[in-house]
Amino acid sequence: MRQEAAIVAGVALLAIGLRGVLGSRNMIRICVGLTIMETAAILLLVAMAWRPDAAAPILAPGIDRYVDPLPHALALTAIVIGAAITALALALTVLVYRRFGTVDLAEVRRRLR
Amino acid sequence: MKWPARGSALAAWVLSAAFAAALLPALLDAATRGVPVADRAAASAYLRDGRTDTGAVNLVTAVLLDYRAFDTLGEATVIFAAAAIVGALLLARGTPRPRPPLSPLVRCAMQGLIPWFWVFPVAIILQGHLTPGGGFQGGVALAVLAILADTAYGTPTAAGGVGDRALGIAESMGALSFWALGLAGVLAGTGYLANLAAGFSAGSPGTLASGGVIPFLNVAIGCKVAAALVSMYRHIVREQEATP
Repeated sequence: MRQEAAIVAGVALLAIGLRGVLGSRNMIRICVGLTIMETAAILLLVAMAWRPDAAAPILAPGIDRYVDPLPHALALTAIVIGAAITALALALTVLVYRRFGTVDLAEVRRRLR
Repeated sequence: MKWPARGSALAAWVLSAAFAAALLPALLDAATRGVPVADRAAASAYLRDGRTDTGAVNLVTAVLLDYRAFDTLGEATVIFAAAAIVGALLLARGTPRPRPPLSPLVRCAMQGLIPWFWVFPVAIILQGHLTPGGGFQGGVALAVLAILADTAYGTPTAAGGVGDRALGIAESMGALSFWALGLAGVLAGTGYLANLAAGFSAGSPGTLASGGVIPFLNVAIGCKVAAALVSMYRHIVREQEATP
């Protein structure tokens, strides 16, 4: 039940982030949408590692049930790649702002014509 | 033509909802009817042999820096590439204008707090094989510390903080030492980035001196990630001379 709830929340976040990426004119909003999608992917990875009554995969005496450590390691990878993507997106936003004085893509498109 | 067109907000919602509707059943199905954790070959092997194979009790770190250390080297390269690309895109043309520092109150508070803020990332990096954490997380915490100091004092050097040159050195040294630590395995005749097989001592798992090469790799990654994030941050916020 808890796993299903996490999966539903992750997919909902993914959709919200995707809507932000697809439907925004403001480049900062697109960056925020990207970040939300990354977070959703991490939540989904952690949800797929879950198993009932299990501890985080850090071995401790007296505990013999742990969740799958592999998706957690991949989540770290996803976080790092996400940080790199966010930095690149923000750098492009800064470039557009320097060139056009705005981060509104509709305005940028109007100027380009 | 107006762009985005009037219906595009609705279209974005419809597309996203369709995406979610397609994805949700598949994920729920995989969670309820897929291979349970106990029967996954990789998971059970890591959980069973992780301690003896790597000497680390934090199995996430064990996967990241022992079983899949080569992946992690690639991951560190991604950060390196991102920092290089951000630097190239936002190449400072004018001289950077120092931003005004925050109020004396904030600076006084920061002066008292910064030494304490150092404890957290350093502990996270050094105990990456024992507790949740490691080079990536501790590196990010270190970067946040440096960004806080930058924000409070206006310019990086005013706080006696690290300059851009020191950042570059820290980033390169982090990447190079990760790469060089991997060579130990080659010299020992096993494989690149080998851990215990390359003769590193496992120590007694659960103590600070354990996990073979893992703590050293964590320190290298911590330096690298912190330096790369701070340099990306500085490139992004750096104010230019008026460029219309």
